[in-house]
Amino acid sequence: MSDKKILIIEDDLALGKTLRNVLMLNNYQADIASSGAEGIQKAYEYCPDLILCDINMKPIDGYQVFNILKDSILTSRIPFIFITGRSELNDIRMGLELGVDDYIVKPFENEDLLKSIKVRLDKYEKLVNIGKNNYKALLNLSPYGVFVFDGETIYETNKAFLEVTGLSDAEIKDTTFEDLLTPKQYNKIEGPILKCINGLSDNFQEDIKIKNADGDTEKFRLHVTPSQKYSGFTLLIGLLSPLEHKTESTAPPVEYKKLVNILEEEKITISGDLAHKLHKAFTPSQLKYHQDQSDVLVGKNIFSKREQEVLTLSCKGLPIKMIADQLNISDRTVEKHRANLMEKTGAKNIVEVIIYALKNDLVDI
Amino acid sequence: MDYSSPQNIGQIISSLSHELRTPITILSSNLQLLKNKHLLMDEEMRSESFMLCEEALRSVTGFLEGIHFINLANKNEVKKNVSIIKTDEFIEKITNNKSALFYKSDRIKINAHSPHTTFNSDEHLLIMAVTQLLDNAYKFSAKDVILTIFTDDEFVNVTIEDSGVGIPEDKLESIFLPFYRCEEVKMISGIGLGLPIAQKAIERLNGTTEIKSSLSKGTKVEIKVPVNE
Repeated sequence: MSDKKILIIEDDLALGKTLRNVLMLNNYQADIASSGAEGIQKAYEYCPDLILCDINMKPIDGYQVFNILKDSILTSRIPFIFITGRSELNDIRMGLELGVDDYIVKPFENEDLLKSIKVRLDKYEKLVNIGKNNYKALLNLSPYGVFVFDGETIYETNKAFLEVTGLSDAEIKDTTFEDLLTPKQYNKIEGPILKCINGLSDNFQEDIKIKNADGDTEKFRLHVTPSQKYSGFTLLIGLLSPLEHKTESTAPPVEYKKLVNILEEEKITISGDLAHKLHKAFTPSQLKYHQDQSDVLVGKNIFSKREQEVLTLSCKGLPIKMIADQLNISDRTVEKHRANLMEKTGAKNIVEVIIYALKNDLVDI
Repeated sequence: MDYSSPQNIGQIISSLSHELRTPITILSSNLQLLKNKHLLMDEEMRSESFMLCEEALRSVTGFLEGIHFINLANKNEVKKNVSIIKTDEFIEKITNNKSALFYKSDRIKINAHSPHTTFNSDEHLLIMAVTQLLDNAYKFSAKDVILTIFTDDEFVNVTIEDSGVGIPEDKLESIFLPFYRCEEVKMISGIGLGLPIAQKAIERLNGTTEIKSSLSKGTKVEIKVPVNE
């Protein structure tokens, strides 16, 4: 039984059900969204492994769905197959130029559809594995302790982190981040961590004392930034750097460049101080040398100005059309900003975004 | 709409082809499943698959019948069979039409009051006209649709009133042309056959169709069909 999830975006309910049955009988999990807007929401909600999408839908058509999903980190790499009644060459060319993975023309043989799906899924899996390997290699290259955690539980660490704490791979699984600190130290950073988890802060740094391998405490500067959102909770990346800089750091600029490239390719943004820190770490004596690349790493504020405006108007209960009119932008752009808001807050729909915004005092009404 | 213009013909053909491709895809896909995967399908899925086939067939035949009817009407070849119709049975046949969009919807409100419980007309044509008009009202409005039927000695009067998007005044002439669709509602699916079918049917019954509409307030269609023919 395959655990691959496929999202069907199709406004004809009967065709949607038919496609779902075809997929389920061939050991895929399938979910139906019956409009473009619902499709965009469900793509965020379910993180499908592949999307099958009708082109001819109103008011948001398949091309628009594709464009919106392509712009977001979370959904841009999901393989996308169009189902279309149009067989004109121009339409197909346009889709392929946009970067759509494949086209299936109605009516089709079930076998052809399944073959196309399998090819795309295999290719995607390969790409993901390459990404994962790059990330692991990068993690272990770092001379500083790096760890992925949700505020308490530690999910992933690099070798340097294990060396600092003197814990083994097995031991780390039973250790929470709190265990590594004295209660007083933990109190100091509990607030900033919560803020990162709630998306209220993009990063923070704090000098803390960590219990090291010998049972002594050692001073580090801790940098934390949110990394990924999963249904409801946020993973944070932490980095521990020693407080006294070892000036004879030998990491060559080339390693830094590699790091920037990989992060860019993975579309991971590291923000503010952590980025500068990484930058400094790799080019200790040539601070000005890679200034331009470091800009790539510096993240933006939580919401852009436009997103904030769209959020505020949404909280006032205005429909998309009126928001578009007030801000002098298109309906589609409003939809896109809303998708970003949903992604950044981990909400499943705009109502949840509004609830989130009101709870966290993000809007002025 | 100018049917001699190649552009319009092209548009009509493309909408016909789209309209037929989807049900044919559903038929073809489900038949392939029923042929090759029937052992893996449970009872529920098998009956759903058969039902989807039937629905697809119904939509193709409904579509072809619509075109055929308009063609006959244009040649003045529609037959009329007048019989005695019971008002309550007439209403029931409309509301129980499974291929209507509004089937089982609670948004259709019926209002029948008449001195007579029966009237004379062609039941098939009248049901076809009222069903198309109701479908249309239902599709272009999100609120209640009120169907009023009143018969007197001379006429059966049917009004269908919605609180939907409305029709621009300069388009009121065009909406009865086959395949015509208003730019304003291009996002609502359809190919533009419903209103022409209704109008042709009423015409055949020597009745009149009157339409009043106001943008974003709603539309009211009044049909008046003589009963003593």
